[in-house]
Amino acid sequence: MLLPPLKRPPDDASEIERELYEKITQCVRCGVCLHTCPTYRELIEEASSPRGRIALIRALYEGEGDISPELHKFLYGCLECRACETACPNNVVFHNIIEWGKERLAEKDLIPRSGRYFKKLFLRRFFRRAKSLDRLMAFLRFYRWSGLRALVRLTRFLKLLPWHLYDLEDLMPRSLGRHRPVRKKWTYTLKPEGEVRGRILFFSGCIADHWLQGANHATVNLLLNAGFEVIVPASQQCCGALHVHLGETEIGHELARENVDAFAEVDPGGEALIISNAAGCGAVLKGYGEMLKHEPEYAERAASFSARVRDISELLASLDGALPPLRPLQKRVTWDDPCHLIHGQQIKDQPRQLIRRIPDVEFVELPECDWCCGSAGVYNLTNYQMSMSLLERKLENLKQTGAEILVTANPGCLLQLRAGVRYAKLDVEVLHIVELLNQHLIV
Amino acid sequence: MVHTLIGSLPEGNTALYCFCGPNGPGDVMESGNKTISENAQRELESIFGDDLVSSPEEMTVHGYDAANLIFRPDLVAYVRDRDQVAAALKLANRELFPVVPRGAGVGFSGGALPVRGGLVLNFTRMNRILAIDTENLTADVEPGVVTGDLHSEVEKHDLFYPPDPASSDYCTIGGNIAENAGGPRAFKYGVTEHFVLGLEAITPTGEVINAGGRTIKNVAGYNLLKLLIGSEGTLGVVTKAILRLIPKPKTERTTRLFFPDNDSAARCVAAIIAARVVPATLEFVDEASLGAVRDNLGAEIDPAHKAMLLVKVDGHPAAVEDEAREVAEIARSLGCSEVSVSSGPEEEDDIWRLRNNLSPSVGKLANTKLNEDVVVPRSRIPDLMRAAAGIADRRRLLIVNFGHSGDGNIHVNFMYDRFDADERSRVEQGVRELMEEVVRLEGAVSGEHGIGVMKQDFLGLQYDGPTLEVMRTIKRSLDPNNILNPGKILPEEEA
Repeated sequence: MLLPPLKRPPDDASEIERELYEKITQCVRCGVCLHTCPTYRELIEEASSPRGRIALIRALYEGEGDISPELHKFLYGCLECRACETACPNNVVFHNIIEWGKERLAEKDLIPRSGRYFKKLFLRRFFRRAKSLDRLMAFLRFYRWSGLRALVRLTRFLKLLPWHLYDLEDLMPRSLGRHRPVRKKWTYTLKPEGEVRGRILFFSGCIADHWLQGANHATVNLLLNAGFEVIVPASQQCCGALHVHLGETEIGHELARENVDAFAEVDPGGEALIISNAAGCGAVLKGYGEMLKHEPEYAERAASFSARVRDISELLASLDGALPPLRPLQKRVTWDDPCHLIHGQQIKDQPRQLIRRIPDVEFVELPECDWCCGSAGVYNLTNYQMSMSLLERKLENLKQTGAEILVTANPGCLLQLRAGVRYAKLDVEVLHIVELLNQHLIV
Repeated sequence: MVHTLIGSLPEGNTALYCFCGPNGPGDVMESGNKTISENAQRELESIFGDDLVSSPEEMTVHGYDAANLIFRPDLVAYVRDRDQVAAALKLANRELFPVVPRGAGVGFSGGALPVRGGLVLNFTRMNRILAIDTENLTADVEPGVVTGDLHSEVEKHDLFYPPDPASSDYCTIGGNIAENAGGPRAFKYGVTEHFVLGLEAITPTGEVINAGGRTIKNVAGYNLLKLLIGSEGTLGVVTKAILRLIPKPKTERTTRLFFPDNDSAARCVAAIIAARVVPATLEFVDEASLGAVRDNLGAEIDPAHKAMLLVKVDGHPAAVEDEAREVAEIARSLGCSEVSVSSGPEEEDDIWRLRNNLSPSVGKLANTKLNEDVVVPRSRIPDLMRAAAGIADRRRLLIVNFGHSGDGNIHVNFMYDRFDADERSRVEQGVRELMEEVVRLEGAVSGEHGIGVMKQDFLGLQYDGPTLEVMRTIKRSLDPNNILNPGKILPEEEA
């Protein structure tokens, strides 16, 4: 028996929908993705598996079958860790499909009310404009240090609110950043000592630029030490990852356009490499070309932009001998692959090579290192329970290694893992890879 | 009712007839004809509680397996224990609705598809390893245990469960038993049936039975084990299995051999076996597949290499050493152009990387792959390869071959464009020719995927009328109402 011929997309489908349908029908439902999908493995539920989600979106696309409120649960239950993309023998571009599905649900108003408020508040406001986020962060700093937090905790006021806000608030890092974001601090070109080997445009990130300033400072310092000039484009915005992951594709595209413009402002020739130290941002930045390819005004520039994006590990590992020597470290170190580094950008060996460059380090592999830690952008806000199960699983694996330092490379993962280590009272330091390297530079 | 179309179709182009209505795949079950009455549904709710699901989303995702056809069920139940299965089957016989057992849903022949609607029993949550007996070397498992999980669990005790279908990481033992799954290690160790000692199963009429037992020797009564294993969920539903384990081989070593043409590689397989070497796996990759890998991975493979064999030997270190050397010598004498032997686990991974890249690479050759898992006696592999090449030539088709040549199970993949009606019909003719050739070579039309709905047209090539009639008699006597997984294996079972 032969397989039936493929259905063709409807005649009135747009170019984007046609492409999407091709991507959807690329899935032959072989099931290779099942065991790599954290949500399938946790729930043992076909509808929470990659091929299940694709089948649901296909039914949505083809208008077959009814839609129940469960559809939201299955689609928004996806972490978008993209582990299925690494596993897929047929090269199905899963994230495009799930993002389309989430967008349709949002359009059809099939999202619960709390989700709608969340989107309105965060995606369309704080993460839409870097300045709004600056203000929110200033408020949170005030909240933390003024004693207001103590009061709120004492009165358990947050327990009254939805989305586990009480527990989530605890995920906030201890230090909320005492400095100005590097985007505001370094508005001039930073020069290395000695010979200049090239110019770097640094994508500083939104949350990271407030809460993980150590990583941003370390990144800039490493780049300078490797002989690069560094520019931090002042008008850059959030990368848009959170938006496209939550079905706000249009805002994602707006941010992509604004970022392409912001980087062109300081580098009109479009020659310098663009460096990100956040795996999630990097994966999306590398996708701008694909995202904007139907917009004549931006297509070419976005493609050139994406082609110049590198993750910091990718760049540093490719520089032979450019980094100054590193001080030895007599500790057991392990590495947790951020999903959007290993699955989103297929960067696996480089960070491991960099860690091993530190003399005397005892490097051990973390079991299930390519599994999501549950942070997944704002997943720990939207799907708290699943996020915490995955975090527990991660911490169990971490305990097995006996590592003293856990290294990773994405703001979300860092916040989640630091909170996890704190809850579980583990004596493990959680560092961004640039922090680890920077600490051991012999300068 | 629309579902009954299948199985009672005119000869010939059944696929196009069944599945390609105006709306293409998926519309067969869209008729809205419920097979389960409201009354029966209420009773099922009392049997399964919250584990009975009915949302349109759950129906969609239980409407497919890896055969890439769609038939939505009416209800799905996540099974927790055997009594639920027995109760559901008794009810189904009273109310006359189909019941289809399902593991992970990753079979290639459509075994888990509810082609006539009804109730799907999902076993993936009945997944406990009940016991590993290190004294008698057995494991008691529930059917939803993932095969790969069993592998790693028994290997902690230095034990070994050899059957290793390519889907081990995600398929279930229950599905393996239903399809009598094989895998690369079948050549040396055998297939699933060689490692099942006993089964607890529910008959189609809802009785709990026990087949086999806990011992290797057991000739008490009819061999119900062999009847159930490979019956594709049509004769019984397995609820517990007692599996045989063996000590884990101490070492393994893979030799990679490149050949200047398909033929010398195929002859090398025969020569290795004739020399009484028994590799754990013997994987064959033909010229077209190797070319696809080369395109995908870049210039890693010398263009002069046209075919590849991967020969893994395992066992006692000294024997492994010897056998690997012997394999290399045989290969060289047959014109092998490059030999490399792994020296440790890392090199082992490196050597297998090419093989593991095969499926994705081959997948890029066309939008559709039809994988025919035919099997012939090992010595006839060169004939099979020549026949496949002849078909590709005559019918202007792209055919790539790879597979477990040690046991004669070659996967002949037809790569084609599903939008191209002319190419589709040429594939259809090519497949039939291949099957006829396989039968002529004294092989079997399916080595490990099963008949299901995908290969019903070819069962009649392999077995004559009286043989098929015995199969039908067995099915009818065990399942008089044709409740359990109807529409599978036997083309006209109700005609």
